[in-house]
Amino acid sequence: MTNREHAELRRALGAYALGALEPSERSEVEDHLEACQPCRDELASLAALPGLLARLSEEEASQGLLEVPEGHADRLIAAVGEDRRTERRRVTIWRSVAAVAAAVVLALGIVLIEPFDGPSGVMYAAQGSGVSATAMVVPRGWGMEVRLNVGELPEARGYTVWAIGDDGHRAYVASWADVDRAGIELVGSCYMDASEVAHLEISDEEDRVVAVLDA
Amino acid sequence: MPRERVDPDEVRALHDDYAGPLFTFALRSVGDRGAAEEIVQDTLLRAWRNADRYDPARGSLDTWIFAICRNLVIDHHRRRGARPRVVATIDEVGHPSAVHDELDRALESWQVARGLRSLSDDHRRVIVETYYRGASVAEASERLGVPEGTVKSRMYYALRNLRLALEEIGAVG
Repeated sequence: MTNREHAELRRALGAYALGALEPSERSEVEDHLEACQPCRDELASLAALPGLLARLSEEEASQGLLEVPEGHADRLIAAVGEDRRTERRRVTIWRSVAAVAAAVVLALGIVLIEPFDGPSGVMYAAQGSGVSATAMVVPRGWGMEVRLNVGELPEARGYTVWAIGDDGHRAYVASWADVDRAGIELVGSCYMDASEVAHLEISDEEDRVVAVLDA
Repeated sequence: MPRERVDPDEVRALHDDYAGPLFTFALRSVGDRGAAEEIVQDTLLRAWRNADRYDPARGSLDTWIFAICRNLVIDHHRRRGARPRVVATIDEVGHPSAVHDELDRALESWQVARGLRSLSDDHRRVIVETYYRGASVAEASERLGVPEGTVKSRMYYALRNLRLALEEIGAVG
C-alpha cells in the first residue's frame, strides 16, 4: 500500500460513511480498513454523523429552515422594554384612579389629573352590576388619545367605544372582540377635541349601548 | 421580583440559549415560519415576564420554558381549528420524560442545523446531494459539475468540519 493510495482511500471515508460509494469501491475501502488502524480510527470519529444528520429533513438541511430569523433577539429585547413601559403606565393609571376617587369625595365634576410620569388626562368611568370600565382621555394636538381599561362588560361579540360630544356628535374611538379574559387594556384615538367630550359609550356589535363612561 | 431595569444582555442570553431549539420545535409543529417566530417571541417574553413564577423544585428551567412554548403551539392549532402535528398527545404531556425527549430532539436537530450552516456552501451541498437526496458519488459529480475525486474529498472534509463544529457546540463528545 503506497502513501498515495492510503491518502486516496482516507479521503473516500466521508463517502463511505454516508453510503455514497459504488459497491466495488466500497469493498476496496473495507479491505484497506482491515489493514489500517489510523483509517479505522478516523472512520470511528465520523460514525456518529449520519445518525445526527438524520435529525433533519432534506428541506431543513438544504434551505437552512431552522435558522432563527434575523433580528429576533433585538425584537425580544424591544418587546421586553415595551413591557416595562406598559407596566409603568398601568401604575400611572392606577394612581390616576386613586386621584379621581379622592376628587369625587371633594365633589368635583371633572378632575384634571397630573400623574407622576404619565400624560395628563381626564378619567371617565362606568360602574354598575356587571359593568366596569375606565378610560383616560388625553388631549393631543390631533384630537385625543383614549386609554381604556375594561374590567367587565355584558357578553357580546364585539365592542366599540364612541366619544359623545357636547353637541351630541358621536365619534369612533376603538373596537375589539369579546375574549374570554378579564382586564383588557387598549389605546384608541379620536379626532374629537378632548374638551368637547360629554361622555364615552361602549356599544356592542348591534350598536346597543352596554356602558356609559362619565367623568 | 419584577425586574426594575431591563438588561439587554440578559435578554439576549435567554434568547441565545433557547430561541433555536424552540424555533425548531415550533416550526415543525406549526409549519409556518412567521407563526413559529411569533410563538418563540411570545414564549421568551412570557418566560421573562413570569420568571418569578418559575419554581426550580418543580422541574428544570428548560422544561418550564418548553412547556410555555408547547402551550402556545397548542393555542395556535386551536385557533386554526386544526390538530397539532408534532405536539405530543395530552397523555404524554403529563410525563416529564416525554417532554424532555421532545426538547432534546429539538435541541439536537437545531445543533445539527447550526453545524451544517457553519460549513462552506460547497461542503454543505455535497452532503445534501449525497446524504439527503441519496446521490452516489458519480451522480453528485454530475449534478455539481465537479470530478468524482473532488466530490469524495469534499465529503470527507465536510464531515470532518461538521464533527468539529458539533464538538464545539457540545452536540458530540
